[in-house]
Amino acid sequence: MARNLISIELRAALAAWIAMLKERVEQFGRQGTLAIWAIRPIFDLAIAALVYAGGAKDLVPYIVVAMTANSLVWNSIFWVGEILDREREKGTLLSLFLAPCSRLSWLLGFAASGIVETSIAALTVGVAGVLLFDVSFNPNFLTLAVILPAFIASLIGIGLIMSGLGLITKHANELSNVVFPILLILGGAYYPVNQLPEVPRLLAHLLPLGYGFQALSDATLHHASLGDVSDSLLPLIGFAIVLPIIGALLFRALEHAVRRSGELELY
Amino acid sequence: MNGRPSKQPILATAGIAPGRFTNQSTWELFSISLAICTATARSYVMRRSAYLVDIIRSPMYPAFYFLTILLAYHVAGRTVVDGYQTLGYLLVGTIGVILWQSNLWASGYAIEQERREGTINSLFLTPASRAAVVSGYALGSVFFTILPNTLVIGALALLMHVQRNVSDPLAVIIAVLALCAATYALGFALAGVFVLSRRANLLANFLQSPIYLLSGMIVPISSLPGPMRCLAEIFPLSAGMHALRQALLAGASLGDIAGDLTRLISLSAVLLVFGLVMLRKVERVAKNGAELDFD
Repeated sequence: MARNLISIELRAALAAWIAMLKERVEQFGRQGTLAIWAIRPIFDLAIAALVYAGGAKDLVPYIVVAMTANSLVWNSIFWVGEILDREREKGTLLSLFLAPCSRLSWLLGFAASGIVETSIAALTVGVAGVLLFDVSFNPNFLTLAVILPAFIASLIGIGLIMSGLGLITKHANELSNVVFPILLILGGAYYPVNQLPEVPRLLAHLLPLGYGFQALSDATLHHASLGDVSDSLLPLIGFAIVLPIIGALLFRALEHAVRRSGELELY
Repeated sequence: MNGRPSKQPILATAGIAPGRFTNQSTWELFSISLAICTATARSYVMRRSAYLVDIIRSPMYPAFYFLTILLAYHVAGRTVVDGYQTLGYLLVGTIGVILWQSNLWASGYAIEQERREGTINSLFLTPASRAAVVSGYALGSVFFTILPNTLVIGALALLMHVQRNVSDPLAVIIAVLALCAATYALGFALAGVFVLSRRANLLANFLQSPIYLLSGMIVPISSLPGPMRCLAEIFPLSAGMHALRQALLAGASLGDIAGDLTRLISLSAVLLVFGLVMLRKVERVAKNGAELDFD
C-alpha cells in the first residue's frame, strides 16, 4: 500500500515535471527567449568582476562560482516561489489542488522544470568566467556531490516557504522582488560573507547561501576535500535538513489558511 | 466586407463624437493630453498601491542593490572610484538606477502593461494620444517609485555622511532634471519595441544590468573593455551620470557640464522621435489585425 502511494506520488511529480518542461521548452523556442535568459547573468558577473578588477582581483574566481550557483537561488525565488501564483493567473490552481495526489509531488515536479534555464544560466556564467576572466577550475567531484544536493535541498526549502507566502500575499512576483535583494546583500553572491563587516556577516550566517557559495567555491576552484570545507558544509547540511521541513510545514499551514478563507483563486 | 473599419464607427463605438479630436486648437489638444496623462498617472498609482507588498517592494531594490555594491567595493578595498569617494560615486549611480528602473518599468512597460491586463484593444480604440498614456505611466512612477526611492536613498546618504561638493546648486538641479528626461526618453523609446517583441518582461529584465554598465552607474566607464567603452561614450545616460557626478561631487558649474548636458538632451530627443515612430508602428500593427493582445 505504502509502495503504491509512493509510486503515485513519483508519477505525479514526473508528470508535472514533463508537462511544465514542455511548456517551458515551447516558450524558450520563441524569439530567442532562452538566449536572453542565458546572457543576462553575464552582465551581473561583469559588474562584480569590474568592481574587483580595481582591487581584490583574487576574488573574481569566487564571484564566478558564486554567481553560477546564484542561478539556483534565482530559480528558487523567481520560479519555484511563483509557481502557484502563475497557476492562479492561468486559472488552473483550483484544479491542481483537486488532484488526488499530494501538493508536494506536483510542486516538486514543477520546480524541477526550472532546471533548463538554471543550467543554461549557470553554464553561461561559468564559461564567461573562463573566457573573460581567465578563471581555472580544479573541481573535487566527490565534495561537490555532497555540497550540491545539500545546497539544492536548502533552496527547495526556501522555494516552498516562498510558494506558501505567495499564496497569502497573492502577488508572488512582488514578494520575490522583496526577498531577492535581501538574499543578494546577505547571500554572498557578490563577496564571500566572511569578509563582510561584523553586522552583515552575522546576519549572513543566518542563511544557507553564504555557506553554500563558499563550499562550492572551495570545492570547484581549489579541489577542496570534505574535511577542508567542513566549516561551511556542516551548517549547510543543517539548513538542508531543517529548511525543507520548515518549508513543507509552512506551505501546508498557509495553504490550509487560504483554503479555509476561500481565497485560493482570489486576487 | 473585408475592408478595414473606418475611423468614424470606431469613435462612435467608443462614445466619442466624430470630429472631436480633429478640429481643435493646439492648446485644447495639449489640455486633453494633460488630462489623459494625469488620469493615467492616478490610475497607475492606485493600481500599484493596491497591495502592501507592492508598496514595500518599490524602494527596496535600489537601496539594497546600493548596499550590496557598496559592500563589494568595501571587500575589494576600494575607497575611491573614478576619482570620487566610493560612497558618493555609488550614491549618484543609485539615483541613475532609480530613474532608469522606474522609467523602464513604467513608461517602457506602459503599453505592455495594457496588453497584460487585457486592455490594449480598448486603448487602441480610444482617440487618446498614446504618447500621453505612456507619459502618464512615467508621471505615476514619479510618485509611486521615484519619490519613495529618493527618500530612502537620501536617508542612507545622510546616515553614511556622503561628502558633497556643490558649488552651483542650479547645475545639480538641471543635471537631475536632464537625467530624468533622458531616462524617460529611453523608456518612451522602448514602449513600442516591448509590445512588438511580445517578450517585454524578459527584455525589461534583461536590459537592466547592461544599461548599468553602459551608463557608468555602478562601475566607471573607463574600466570597461574597448568596444563597450566606445558604446558607453555615445550612450545618453552616461553623459547624464557624468554631469550629475561632476555637479554633486566635484563642484562643477553649469558651464562645466554644458557639454554633457547638450549631448544628453540631443540624444534624448533622438530617442523620443524613435519612440514616437515605434508607437505609430504599434498602432499600424494593431489596425492591421495582428492581435497584440495575444502572447
